[in-house]
Amino acid sequence: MKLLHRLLLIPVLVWIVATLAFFLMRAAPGGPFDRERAPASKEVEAALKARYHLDESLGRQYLRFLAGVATGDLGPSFKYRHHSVNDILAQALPVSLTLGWLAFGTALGIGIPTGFLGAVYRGRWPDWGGSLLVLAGVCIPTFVLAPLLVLFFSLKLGWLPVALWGSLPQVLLPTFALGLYFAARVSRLLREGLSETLRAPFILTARAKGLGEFQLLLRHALRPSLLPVVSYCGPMLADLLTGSFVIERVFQIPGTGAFFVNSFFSRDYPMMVGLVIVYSALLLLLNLATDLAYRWLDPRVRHA
Amino acid sequence: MRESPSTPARRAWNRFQHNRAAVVGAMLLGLILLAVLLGPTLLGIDPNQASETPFAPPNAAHWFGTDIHGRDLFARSLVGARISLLVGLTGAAVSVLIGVTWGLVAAYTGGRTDAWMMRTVDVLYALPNIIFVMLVIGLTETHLVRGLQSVAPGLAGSARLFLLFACLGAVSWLNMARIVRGQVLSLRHRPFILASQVLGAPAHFILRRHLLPNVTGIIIVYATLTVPAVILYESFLSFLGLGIRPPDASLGTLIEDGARQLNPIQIRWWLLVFPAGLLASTLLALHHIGDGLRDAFDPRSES
Repeated sequence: MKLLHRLLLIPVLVWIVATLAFFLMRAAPGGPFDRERAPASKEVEAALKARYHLDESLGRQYLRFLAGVATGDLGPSFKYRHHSVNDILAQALPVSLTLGWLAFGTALGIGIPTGFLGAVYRGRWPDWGGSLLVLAGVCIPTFVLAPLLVLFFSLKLGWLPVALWGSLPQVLLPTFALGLYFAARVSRLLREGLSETLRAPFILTARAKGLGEFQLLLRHALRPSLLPVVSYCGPMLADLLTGSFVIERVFQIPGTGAFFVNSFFSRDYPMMVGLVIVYSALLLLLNLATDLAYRWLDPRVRHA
Repeated sequence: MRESPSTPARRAWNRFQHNRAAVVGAMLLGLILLAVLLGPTLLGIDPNQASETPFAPPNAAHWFGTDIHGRDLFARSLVGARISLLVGLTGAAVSVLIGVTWGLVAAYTGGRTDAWMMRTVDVLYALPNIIFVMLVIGLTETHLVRGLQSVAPGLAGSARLFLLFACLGAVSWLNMARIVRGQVLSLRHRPFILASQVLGAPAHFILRRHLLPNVTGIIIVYATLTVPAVILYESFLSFLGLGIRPPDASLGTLIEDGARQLNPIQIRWWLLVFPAGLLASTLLALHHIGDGLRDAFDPRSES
């Protein structure tokens, strides 16, 4: 069966991606104990390298890594020396997952209604309002939007906290700042999809049969129009759930997003490969889920 | 008597001309291109020249004000927009070149080759973009600089720019390959392709003469959507310190510098508003051109 085949392919793809990351990372110039991270003496450096098995051949290191991953151990972090990658992920991932789901909800909550109204009232004011939102979401980079929101809502008005994570008011600004870009994409996709569906012959037939506008839009037109949004949801969720570097830096949120960038600059090999594994497994699973949702939504795909 | 439109390209052009938003977008983009290409030379202001007046608000001498080092923001914005557009257009061109070739070949060859080519796309897709870009820059930059120094020393300073072109193209071709492949798969078994094969046309002829023209519309549309995406991605890379290096600037780095000056005590709005406005209007123009092209190439929009 095709589905089972694809499910079995996921570990293989993740393994290839992880292998690629493992070797490319080690081929990059510099090492984990360079420059400002350099140990005090040659002896200390040798001891550190021996502790992390960096003195072994690359092939042995790779086998060690594979054996670790097979038992669910991603290894020690080179930068945070007293933590394993598993520990760090166990702490940071829940934060990023929470923020990601909230931002996902925001993206759909803003994007679907505006896209829907934009298509239904094409060329009239709800459409213009939606277009303005899309434009703002796509044109204002997150690293500008987030400080602007802080400046206005936290520093000028004093309504919301400036940074950190935990309480409900602290959640609002990062969620919105992260969700807006994706809301814009969702809104645009739905507007395009629905406009196209509304031109299809079966809509004309439904109207000719005297179906009410409300039922026509919600029951017949919306479902096929959601398909582009659904196929965008897979990559969107994979991006959102693994954390955003910019948002986490601006709001000082202890999620995984910062590690993506920092692990590269500090040559923290296990951390980076661990993140790559998490990301790729998540993306592939979500894409599979997306395809399943597709089959459920679109009878043409189901019966093809 | 007006000549009736005959080729699909001409019909598309006709439809495009009648789309007001698209025409306005094209004119706006033309204007921006003109300003960006000729402006800095006509102005005669060095965008990297520091002066005695840092943080001057917009005035007669400095239309967009000055930045932290007293550099003229108008000149910097124009030069920055030039780099952003250059990166966006080249990145999109690289992505079109790789993506279209990959998709066409995979779909037309089919079978095992297709499976392998598409699995490669899957693997690259599952690698986080940012890590891919960082790896490529980390792995190749020193070699590229050294190589350029021995071949053409004058170009060594632009090594980062060339790398950005390659990286941004390399991360954005995956979707293009998938889209082109999907289109070609649905065309491959159409009667006119079979007829051409029966008549003995070689594969490269069928690809070039029959398949490519049929996917041109969607390629153009997707390319116009890729340009803004690449421009934004470059600004993100600059934010990480992986993009354009100071004192050179792109719109992204200018906006980031402006955002860094944000504080509640003194609002230096011009540092943010002008570069961001230029970026927004460029993206807006590209957005409307893309929309117009999509409608123009859509056979169903024929009235």
